[in-house]
Amino acid sequence: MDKKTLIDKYIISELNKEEQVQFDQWMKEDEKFRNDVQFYSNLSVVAESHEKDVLSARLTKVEDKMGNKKKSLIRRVLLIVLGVLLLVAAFVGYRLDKMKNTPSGIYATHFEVYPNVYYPTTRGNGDLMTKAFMAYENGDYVAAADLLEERIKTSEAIELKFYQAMAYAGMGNLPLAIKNLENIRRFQSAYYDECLWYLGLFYLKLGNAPAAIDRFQTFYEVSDDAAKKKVAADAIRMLNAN
Amino acid sequence: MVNAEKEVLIRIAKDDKSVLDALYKEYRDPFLNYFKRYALSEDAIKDLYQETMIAFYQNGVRGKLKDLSSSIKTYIFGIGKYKAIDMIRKQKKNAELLNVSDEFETIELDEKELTTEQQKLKRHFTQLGESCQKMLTMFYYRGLDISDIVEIGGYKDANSVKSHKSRCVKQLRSLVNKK
Repeated sequence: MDKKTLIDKYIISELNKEEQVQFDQWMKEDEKFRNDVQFYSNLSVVAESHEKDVLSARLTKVEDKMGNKKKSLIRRVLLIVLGVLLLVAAFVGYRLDKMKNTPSGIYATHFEVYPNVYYPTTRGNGDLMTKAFMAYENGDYVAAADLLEERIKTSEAIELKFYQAMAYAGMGNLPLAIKNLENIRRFQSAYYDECLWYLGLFYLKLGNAPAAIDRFQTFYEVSDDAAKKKVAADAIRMLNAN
Repeated sequence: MVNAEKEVLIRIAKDDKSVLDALYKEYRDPFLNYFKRYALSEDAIKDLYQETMIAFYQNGVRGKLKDLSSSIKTYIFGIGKYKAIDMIRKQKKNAELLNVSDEFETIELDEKELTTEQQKLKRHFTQLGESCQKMLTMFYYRGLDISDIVEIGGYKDANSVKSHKSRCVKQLRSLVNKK
């Protein structure tokens, strides 16, 4: 066997016993052979190292792709979540918009208990009126209505009836509120416009369209409040359309 | 070892790099999770995994996995343990404490840094044309014999392989001697 072939077999660890003996002998005796063995051994190590670089570059690409895929997956999930949120927001907005154009929607959007601008509660003297309006301001409409009722026994003031109506409305008793307001409406008091406004809203809420239209119509004619007049006009249009 | 894994090793022995890609993806997350227990950063564990997979694959290509009795995963994690301990030892930490015994036995590797002479030879090796690099890689890295190279490389016959190989070695030697 020639020296070159013997070295090649040595490199791939395939020398048999006889070949190994020959190999060892040439290693002792032949300097060129020793140098060649060193060269090809080095070449084997270098080829492996070079291949390692090739594999490393390959796996780096795989890793990058996996990383990008994960990032892209996270981005995709975020976009989906964002999309769903936008859809929900659009749906809720649409529903609210639709709600605004229903009797319940108009009532829910525009009803609020009239603020106490009649009787200051800072006097702190603990009299019946103070107690009644403190309860009113604190949202305890049942107590407020009862206390006002007690006061009304001795004074039939329109203001008291009006705030009692508001207390009834605040506690959800619209028929009683309407009863008070219809009584007040007969007088040209300072609360006349407000009575019409609230009556319109309450009738609307209770489904009494003719009464609601009538009260809103009158309110529209007498009031100076442009914003509320627009609501009244919209409500009339909606009720007429239905 | 199941037949599917034997088939994987056969493909690795044929240097089918697509198998490496697939195995890399398959064991990546379990490997990264397992090696969190070692005091290594996330980037270091990723480097460790890449080096481990390359060592595993190169062992397969060089025919060192012919008698593998464990599963591929056990072998890969065993290499990972060896490399992790080595990595931590280089950071001058008490690596032996981390060599806990569990389902993965440490697989030792015979790895050495390139000598100065080898580094110089590598620089010249990379200057060779692609066909020469491929030829020398098949012969001196994969350890294929002439008849295998005739078949894989699509050569006319053994003499064509021998003369091509001879030309490549000569070219490399002349590059080395030129400097």
